[in-house]
Amino acid sequence: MKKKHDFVCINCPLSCSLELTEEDGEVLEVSGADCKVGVKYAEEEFCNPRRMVSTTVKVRGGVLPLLPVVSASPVPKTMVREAVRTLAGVVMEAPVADGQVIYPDILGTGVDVISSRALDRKAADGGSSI
Amino acid sequence: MSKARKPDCVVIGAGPAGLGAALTAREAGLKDVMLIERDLELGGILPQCIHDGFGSIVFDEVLTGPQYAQRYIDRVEKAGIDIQLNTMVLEMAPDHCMTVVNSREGVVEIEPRSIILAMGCRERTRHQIMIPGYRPAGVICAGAAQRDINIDGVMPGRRVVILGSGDIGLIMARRFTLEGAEVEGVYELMDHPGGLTRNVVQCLHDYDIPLHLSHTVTFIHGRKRVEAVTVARVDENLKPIKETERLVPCDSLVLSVGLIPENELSKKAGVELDPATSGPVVDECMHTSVDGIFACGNVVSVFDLVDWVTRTAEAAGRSAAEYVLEGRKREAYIRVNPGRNVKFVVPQLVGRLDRGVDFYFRVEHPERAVRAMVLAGGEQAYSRKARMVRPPEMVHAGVEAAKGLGKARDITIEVVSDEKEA
Amino acid sequence: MRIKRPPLPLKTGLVIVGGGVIGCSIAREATRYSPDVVILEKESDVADGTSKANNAEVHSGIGEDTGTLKQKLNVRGNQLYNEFVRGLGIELKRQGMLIVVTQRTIPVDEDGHLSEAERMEILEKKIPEGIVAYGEKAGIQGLRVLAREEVFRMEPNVTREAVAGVFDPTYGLISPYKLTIALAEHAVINGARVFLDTEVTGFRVEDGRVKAVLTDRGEIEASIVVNAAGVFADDVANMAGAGGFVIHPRKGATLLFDRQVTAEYVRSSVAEFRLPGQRTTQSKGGGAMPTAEGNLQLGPTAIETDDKYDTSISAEEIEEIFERFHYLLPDFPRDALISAFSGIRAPTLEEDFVIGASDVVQGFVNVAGIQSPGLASAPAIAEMVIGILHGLGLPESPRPEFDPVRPAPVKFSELPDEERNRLIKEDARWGHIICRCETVTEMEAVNAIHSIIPATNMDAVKRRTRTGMGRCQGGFCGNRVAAILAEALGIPITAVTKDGEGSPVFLGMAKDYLGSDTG
Repeated sequence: MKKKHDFVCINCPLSCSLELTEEDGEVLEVSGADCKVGVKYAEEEFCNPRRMVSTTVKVRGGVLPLLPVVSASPVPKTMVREAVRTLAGVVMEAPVADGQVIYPDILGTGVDVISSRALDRKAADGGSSI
Repeated sequence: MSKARKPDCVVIGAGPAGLGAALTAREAGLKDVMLIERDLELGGILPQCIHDGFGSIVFDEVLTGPQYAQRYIDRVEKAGIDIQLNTMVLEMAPDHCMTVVNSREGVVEIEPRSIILAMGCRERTRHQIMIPGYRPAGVICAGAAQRDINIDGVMPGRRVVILGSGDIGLIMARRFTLEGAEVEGVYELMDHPGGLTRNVVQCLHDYDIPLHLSHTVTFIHGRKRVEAVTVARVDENLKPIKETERLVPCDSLVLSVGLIPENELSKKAGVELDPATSGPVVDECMHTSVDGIFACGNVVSVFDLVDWVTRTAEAAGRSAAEYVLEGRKREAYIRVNPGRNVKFVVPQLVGRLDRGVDFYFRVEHPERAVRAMVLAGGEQAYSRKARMVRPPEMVHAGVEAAKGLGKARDITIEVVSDEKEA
Repeated sequence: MRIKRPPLPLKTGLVIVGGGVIGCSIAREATRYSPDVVILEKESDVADGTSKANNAEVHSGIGEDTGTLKQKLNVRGNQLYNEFVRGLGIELKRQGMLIVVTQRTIPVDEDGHLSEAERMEILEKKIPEGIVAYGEKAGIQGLRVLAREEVFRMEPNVTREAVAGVFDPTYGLISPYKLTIALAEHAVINGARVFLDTEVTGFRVEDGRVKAVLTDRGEIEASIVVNAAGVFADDVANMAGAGGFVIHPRKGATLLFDRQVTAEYVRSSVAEFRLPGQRTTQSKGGGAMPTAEGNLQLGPTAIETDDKYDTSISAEEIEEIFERFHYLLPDFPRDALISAFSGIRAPTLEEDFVIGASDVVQGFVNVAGIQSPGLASAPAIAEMVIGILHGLGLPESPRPEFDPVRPAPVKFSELPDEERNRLIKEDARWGHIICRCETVTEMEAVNAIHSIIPATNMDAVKRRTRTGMGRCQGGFCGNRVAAILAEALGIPITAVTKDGEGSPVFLGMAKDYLGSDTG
């Protein structure tokens, strides 16, 4: 049975409204695109939508209480929320290096989650974090 | 700071603008560059912008805010720049004399030979847009909420209404949701979103967060803590339509209603400001109206891409070095006129005609099938087609030296319909 | 989570219900005669009711009706003010008020009963001279008529429709909450005790005498009670059976503007003279007046309300203020607005002060119906009440051990650089600026929390230090102040409130809502 799906293209300010028609998962046509990039975008959003995951994880002994992390590459869109929930349970120990792997192969996607920055250990005298 | 009271250059603000400017000034030959930052670490706003989308132009990569900052922090820390964190500039005068303070050295007077302003922006507040109602806890600007969640690890709200669909509001809609809060909706005064389509899709559509265009908040309820907001549709004059009022229970109102370049110090130094940008009037070298004072990044005008911030920072750093080492002063100028469908242009002045100039501008209203043009003395110095131009997306017009601006007496940047041209 | 408060004493000499400017004025004056004074305040800070929303004006008395207690105490209070604030470390800025007579005070008479020459004479001479005469009759000094050019010399940006003016030099400006805090601290220095977050729930009255005050935190035996409970004064009086008046709340909103812009537009306070028939409300009509710190205020409005807690500001009020003052200061930029606030006046139906010992309940003194000119009258109200209290048992002779000085908090922004550096060497926190807009240091916030009337929430710190009162309205300093409060009070950051119980700034920690159970 033919089904239609709507997408908004994000590749340029035109933001074309795209309509993708598919049957049993096979893409039949994409309408509404002003250029080829839009067609490709709709196909990818339907077949294999992926997103970068960026969030924070807790840190012990660091100059800040949280560490920003990001997936090394996009993961399936449907797994983003679960990935963030999984990462919520992570506690790193400072210092952390920029790019350090925080959580390898998140949810079996093959994608590592890495640190977005270097985070120093808090000085022994405490220092001000205000 | 005790080393030199007369540094070659003082850069105020260590966000992407200040980092880029300090690095460039140092690499261009200035021995004594001081970088002043009021916060406890380098990076400015970037450390809290944990999402990706930065650096596609400068690095040809897609980085997060912290990653982009780290690229510069690593280099700045090794460059022999005098980094002063937790330091506030108290006073500044047109003769460059500055008073700064921190806990380590106390109040110190500095007379830098050159100054680069890189203070960025502050957020427009609830009262500035005059939202009626009570004044409870729970009304917060989106950037401040971002700092709460991503840096301090505190949640400013649990059930949130967001007013304003600029990029910060959209990004925070997703961030709140991923951290387990509920975003009831994003309300936008205009009839089109204020931010990038990419963010509308990946922050709202992806999470089924409704976007209510042509809406605003007309009342904040709750004496001690936000309990609800009243929202209403607005008419073509942007005035609320009373019959459409609806009560939305929530515990937080997050405001994403605009950024204001932070130019209090600039005013103290006597720098001329452009009312269209709320930032200093600059030339293509990022030189302000005061000799030896330069400006770059969001303090000049709100940029949409950090890559442009870096470009203006590099220009400012180079220029400060030329000013100090070669005594290069400001030139006689050609005024840049914002033409058809152009709200403002940076730089506002062009002095040197022998080098290329990077213009940055925003359009007043969305328009399809256009050409962005730079006209110098009536001649076309630059032209570029665009399928669509919208206010949230800044346009960059890089005019090459060869094309040049010739002997032009005036320069106009305009956006014209491409259909007419054909 | 409530801040822990000290336990109430079992017994005291004098209880003052209400820690606003009136209650704290009376308390401070009472401690000249006895240390046995207790202030009970139901909010989390002094001045946290209506006093914090006051417009900072110490009127001369010119706006009050002849024969009222308001007028009498206003004129006397204004005269006593310099002496009243001596030793508090806070000053009354007597910069005077410019009362402007404009073309619309008496519009051109279309029917021709009034010739233009007659109209102008009324506007230029009769009205201003009348105002001066009225004021002199009430005992106000220094009033003088201003010709049109003088009006513009004084205030170049006032409307060109100005015809003449009256300068009222004894009018002044003082921060109402800083004054209240100073008075409360001074009272405490001299033996008084202040109990915040303590609400009066009733009284024990036996044989027509007050015996004890009942609160939500226990009871205190006392034989003299002063009811200075502001908007709630009728409720409190009725609890004791010492009522007989009704407070009908009237709220007022004020718009507040950027200091720098203010300094470019107005030198001092400006009000338009309105004939009694032209006033749309019971209030005096407000004006364009700076705060004691220099932020221009436009307002206040006057809206009758049933709700004693209704400090909301409506869109109509905002528009009304802009419209009203657009006439007086035509070029004032609307976009210099940085904040708005609202408070609830406590007028009685008779619109005059109710100050007196109850006939029905011995020892119970009502100090109620204190609406404008309450701030200006405070010294005289205190004087009058002390007179009543002497008759009820407050010792007659002043105590020799009364300490005349209340040290004012040190403000980094007001110090010369040498002094700043001396302090920074002593304690590094003096060198850490946490509020960029108002140049406030970490040390000042810490001091506010440890002060004599401790600040225990964001608004209390704000009132003492000015954090959050600038252009960015707490965007930069908010987190820092919250962290300082949490550390100094030993509470989790999620327990930090804006304004006492029920107003938490943060609703959880990151990862809490995702069910993370790591430590």
